[in-house]
Amino acid sequence: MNSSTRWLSISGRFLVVLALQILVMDRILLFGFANPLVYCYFILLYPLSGNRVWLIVSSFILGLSVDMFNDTGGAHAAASVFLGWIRPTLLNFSFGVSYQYNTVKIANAPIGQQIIFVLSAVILHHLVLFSLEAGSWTYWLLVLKSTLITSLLSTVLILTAFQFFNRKNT
Amino acid sequence: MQQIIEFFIRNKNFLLFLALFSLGYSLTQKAHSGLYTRNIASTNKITGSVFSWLTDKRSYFALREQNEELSAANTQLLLQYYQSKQEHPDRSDGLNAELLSNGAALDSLEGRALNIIQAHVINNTYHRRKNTLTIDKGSKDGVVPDMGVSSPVGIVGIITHVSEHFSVAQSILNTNSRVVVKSKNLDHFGTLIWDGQRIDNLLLTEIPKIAPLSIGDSLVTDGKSTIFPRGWPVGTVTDIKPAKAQDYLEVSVRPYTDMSSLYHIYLIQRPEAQEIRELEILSQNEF
Repeated sequence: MNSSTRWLSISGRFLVVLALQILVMDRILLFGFANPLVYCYFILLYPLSGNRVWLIVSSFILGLSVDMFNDTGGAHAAASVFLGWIRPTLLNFSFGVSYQYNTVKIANAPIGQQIIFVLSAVILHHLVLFSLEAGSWTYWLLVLKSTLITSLLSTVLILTAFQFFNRKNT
Repeated sequence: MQQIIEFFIRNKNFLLFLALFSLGYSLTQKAHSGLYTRNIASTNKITGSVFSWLTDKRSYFALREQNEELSAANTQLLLQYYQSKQEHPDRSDGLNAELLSNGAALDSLEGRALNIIQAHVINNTYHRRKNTLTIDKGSKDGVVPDMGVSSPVGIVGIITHVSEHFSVAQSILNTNSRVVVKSKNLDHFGTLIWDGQRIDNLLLTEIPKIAPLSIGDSLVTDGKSTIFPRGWPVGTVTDIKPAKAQDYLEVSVRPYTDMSSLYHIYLIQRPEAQEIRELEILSQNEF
């Protein structure tokens, strides 16, 4: 893949993920409060060999766009930029150092490693997001509860998407 | 110098992260204090038009529900109309009809005209601690901050931000929301707040223990604030228990409006609101 088609596919994925989040996922409320956040998919599946600065910047823009549609100030932006920044650490933690040599393809890795990667990333992202959104320690129990349940939902959806698009790539 | 530059290059990812994270954090804090910039709120043009488009498509699916609610509200209005006609047979019907056709209605208890703007909710949240509604009418249609927002059956919030074509209201499901309400038949009043827990449960605080409230009582707005007129429907009492502070009650209230299903709403303004507020500011300056 040359660099311009790769750039196109990244920005295409950005737009699709954003549209899916705003038009579909933000309309879903399970159990009255759990609103699956699938836009993390973009940050998790950003090319492993890609530029880290661009990953951090695009995570921020993605999060800020979601904020605009949700009137949440900058909570999604801050949580996303955190996830974008900490992603290499999580990759190291879940797939071992080998990911650095470009030998790993996330969607082809053993399912256990994929689950660890997505779940840890999503929990961290949601924890930052809900803490910022609550804005006060008074709601810590609610924050933990929504983090747990929403994380499970988002993780299942993101892993399903991994499996779904995996066939096409190989 | 060399070392400083090298330090920046080595840590550029972390510094970038730190800068953007702080930016996001400060925007969040601004949103919490209610001072958010218009660009990051859904009153902005792009998000507003996306929501309008979406609501347009979705409103077809909720027509049946909305119709039922409207017809229920109509029935209630009709009942009220006949009741007031029986109580005040001398009031001229011609005047009433004229006022209504001009987009104003009579304040049922004080006999003064209210400004009412019909509008629709194009974005509604109810799963956060600080919930807001986005409304498809803005300053061009005469919307101003501090107007009351009501569904056909009861209050839902207060306008906080207005742009040219859209406006944002603080929902009663917002931990910052404060509305002064009273029981329909009594004059004891309290403050209606939300504890951020269940969307069908508000709390009435600061109501004295001596007030003879009972479960099932209807609550209405008190009219002491300049936002809602006196006697606007709010909800029913579902539970009463003594509050931590002595001599006060803590009352659970179920709002008449189903906050998870909002579309047709009215924006209400007391015409005398401006005058009252100016007078109050004047009196505060005196003391």
